[in-house]
Amino acid sequence: MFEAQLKGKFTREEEDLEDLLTSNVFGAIKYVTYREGLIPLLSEAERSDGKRPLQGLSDISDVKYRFWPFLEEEGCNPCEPDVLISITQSNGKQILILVEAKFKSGKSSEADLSDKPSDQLSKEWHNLECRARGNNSEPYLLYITADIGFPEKEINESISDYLKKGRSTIDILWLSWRKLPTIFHNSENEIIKDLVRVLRRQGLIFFEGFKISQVENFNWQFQAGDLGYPLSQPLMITWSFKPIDIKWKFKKLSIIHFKWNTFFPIEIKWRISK
Amino acid sequence: MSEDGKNILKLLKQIRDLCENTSLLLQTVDERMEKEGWESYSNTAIAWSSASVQNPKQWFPDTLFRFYTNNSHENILLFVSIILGDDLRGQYGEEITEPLITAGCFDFGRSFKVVDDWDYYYAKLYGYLKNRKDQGEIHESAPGWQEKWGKKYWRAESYKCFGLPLTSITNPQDIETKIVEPLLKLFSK
Repeated sequence: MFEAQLKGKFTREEEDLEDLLTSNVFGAIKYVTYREGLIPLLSEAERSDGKRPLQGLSDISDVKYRFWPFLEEEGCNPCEPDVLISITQSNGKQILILVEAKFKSGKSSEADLSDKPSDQLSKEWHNLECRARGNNSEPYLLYITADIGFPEKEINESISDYLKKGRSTIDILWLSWRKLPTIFHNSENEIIKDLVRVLRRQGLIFFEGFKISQVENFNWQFQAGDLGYPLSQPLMITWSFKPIDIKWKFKKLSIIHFKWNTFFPIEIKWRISK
Repeated sequence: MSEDGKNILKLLKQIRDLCENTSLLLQTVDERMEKEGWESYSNTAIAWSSASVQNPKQWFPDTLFRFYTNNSHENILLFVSIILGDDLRGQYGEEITEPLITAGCFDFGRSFKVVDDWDYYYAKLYGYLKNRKDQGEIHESAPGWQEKWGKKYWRAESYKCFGLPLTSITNPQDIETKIVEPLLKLFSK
């Protein structure tokens, strides 16, 4: 199911689409057993304090996936999260997980002055909370990004928007795409193995050290002046335009003094503004 | 395709892989430093590159770097850099015999804020030193170092830095124990 991507048939821009990445990951785990896909993934989702509330998840009897559902609960700003996962456990307990996935872009909306939560995660949580309350489910918002560490700033902004608008706090879990190759590296499932290959191809890994393999010497070099192939006729370039007399002249403003005993001979006035 | 052609492609792929690994390493440092309250300065990791057909030696960077500032310590500038080879101007104190990862702390003095008084070449600090052993030993500025090095180019009052072979860093734990922890100790000493 990932053959086109593994064979490099997509452009870099196409490969970088977060919808494709979301579809790859959650599309793949939809077709494997919970034990092989969903459970290990959710087990690694963590709060800012490092706690993983879904670590002990088991006894799943049913899972439903809705991709890019449109949510507009009463009193909420509408939103379109990436996936909505409804889990039913054997004991009848319901869990509702809203997945918001990011790859190379940030949140699509920020806090504003309105009275409803408007920051992307904040309004998604608002919808999720209302929906979960309606069907007696336990809500979790899973934020998946390519960050190396917990994206505290972005998540705090969302929590702040929610609190400012008179509501209780948000329970956001975070997971890095980069963790998936590690989570699934021992998988025997062919779909999951291919998923790991795609993720690695996209550079979604953590630092693993430097691996430099042997490269044979090569003797190629360009020799200036040697065209390297026979020409039937000598190369001739003829200029067919009449040069225009340009009046403009560059006026040298100052003389540059070189000081060879210092590190930087020219004093550079230009600076990047910070 | 000729063997030479294949080998050129292999080499170029390895250069790209090296860039990706180095980027991951530096992003891991960023993440750890941010947890300690140090904000990374922009996304920039290279400088002095050239797009000119006349400067091919500058097409590929010789130094990769990250700088860190902290609002609670406005006079301190920290950096982590990767020195990939000799300075193109030939200004390093010793030959670079293998890629190095270096880290350091510039102290601008109690009455002075870091603000704009630094530049990307500060990341090359370790390379300019003499008698390096590249085994993590700490080098400190000697009194009057600014006068010797050119005060208008080096505004900080003092510096401390160290360097290690890049290949000694093989996993995130090494980044923590060999780079981030010693770097933060430099500042607190």
